[in-house]
Amino acid sequence: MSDLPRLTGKESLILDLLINQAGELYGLQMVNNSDGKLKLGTLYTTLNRMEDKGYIQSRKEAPRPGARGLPRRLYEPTGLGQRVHSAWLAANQHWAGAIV
Amino acid sequence: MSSNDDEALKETGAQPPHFTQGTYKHYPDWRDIVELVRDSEGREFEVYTINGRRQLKNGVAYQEESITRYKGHVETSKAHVELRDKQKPPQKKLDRRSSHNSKPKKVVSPPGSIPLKLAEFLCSKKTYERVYHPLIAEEQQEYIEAISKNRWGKAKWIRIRMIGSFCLTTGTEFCAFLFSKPIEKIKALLK
Repeated sequence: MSDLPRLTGKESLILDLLINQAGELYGLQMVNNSDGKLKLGTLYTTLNRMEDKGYIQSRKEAPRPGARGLPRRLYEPTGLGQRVHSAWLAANQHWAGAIV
Repeated sequence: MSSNDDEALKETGAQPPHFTQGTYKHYPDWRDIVELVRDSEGREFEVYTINGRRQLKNGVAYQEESITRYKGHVETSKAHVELRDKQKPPQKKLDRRSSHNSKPKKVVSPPGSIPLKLAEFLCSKKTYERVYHPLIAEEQQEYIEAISKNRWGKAKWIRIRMIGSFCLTTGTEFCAFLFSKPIEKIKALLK
């Protein structure tokens, strides 16, 4: 039972954003696209945890010519993350139907 | 110095010049009244009343109608007085700090560099790389973008938001650090 992958509400939202975007996103884009559901202060802790679980992977942005400042980190879902998310959605629909 | 002058006068056998009291002249740009005196050869010298004492420009005391001690560079001081008499406007010192272009340029570190250093010092490498570095990096990019568009208000807001996010992240990480191990122990017990 404990070996089953777990997904919190925030994690599912992040996966949802990453899967629907069909590309890499950085943290601030996720915050902007989440309609205020995600906060910048807690986002990176959640992303760190999700990376530990293997749901997402990240890489540092390649330095652009003439760019200043530190390079951003881009995130994308892994195969495991996508499967967990689809399973979570299916379970959600099932339980929603059962309740109705 | 006065004794040396006296000795020099004794050696050469020269007599100290004798001054007669002349007219008073007031220079508007001077606070003190300058007295014009003449020596035995008819040369004009000026005597100042400085702090209640009457003296030549070079500081030699003037005793009523004669100067007992004489120094050769009195004339130089007269020339100086003449220049002052013409009321040349004093040259203003060039204040380099006042002009905009010559302001010393300050090397400013990018916003968030101090919190980043603090996080690097306090946290593990993994937490630094995955949590704090992207947080500061994104805020820095936003800040640079706002500045390049001359949106200084937004830039200020980003700085404030960055500090808030940093504090919130630190709080979350601290809580995770405190409670992660007890939770793991409870989970192990439940198994």
